[in-house]
Amino acid sequence: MISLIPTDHFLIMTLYAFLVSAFFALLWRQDRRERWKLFGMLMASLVLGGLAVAWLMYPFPR
Amino acid sequence: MSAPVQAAAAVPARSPWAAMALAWAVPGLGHYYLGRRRTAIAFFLIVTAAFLAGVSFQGRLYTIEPGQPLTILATFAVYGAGLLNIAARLLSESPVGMILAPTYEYGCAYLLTAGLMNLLLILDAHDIARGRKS
Repeated sequence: MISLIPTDHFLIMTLYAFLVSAFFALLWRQDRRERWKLFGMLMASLVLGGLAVAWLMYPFPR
Repeated sequence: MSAPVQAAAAVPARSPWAAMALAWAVPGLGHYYLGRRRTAIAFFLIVTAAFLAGVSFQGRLYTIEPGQPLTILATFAVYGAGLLNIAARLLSESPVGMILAPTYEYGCAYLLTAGLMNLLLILDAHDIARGRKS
């Protein structure tokens, strides 16, 4: 069981972004096309935003 | 009678309080009760997946601690997950999580998010039952 738990930070972050994006796309939009559009925007924002913050923090490891 | 009025009249009246109680107990059950079955199943899968991921990442099922006011908010958030939270507390060997685990912080974030998402679903079910949301 323990070996099945991912410890890769990017994978955990991407899974989180996927779940949150899917949730809010379903909650805030009714039309299927609009849902996919919002899902894509949220997913891209969360993943790319996370990478941008990580890159900005790179000079400050502690 | 216009088409939207006819459609609204065709939908049986549902209790907002029952919808909220069901939504708290099981993620998506409030929406299922209100007739939004496909969306309800999707909500159930998303919130349950987030909560189970949080438990497997060895996050903490918060309880209120004296001198730690933020644990009040965290406890409220985690209890938003309803029966999932209660079942996890009963079945888990360590509800306080494993603070030394590398995924502990992620687990806490997932658990808090799952509870908060379900709290939003409770409010959404209330709005749908009251007719404030189409």
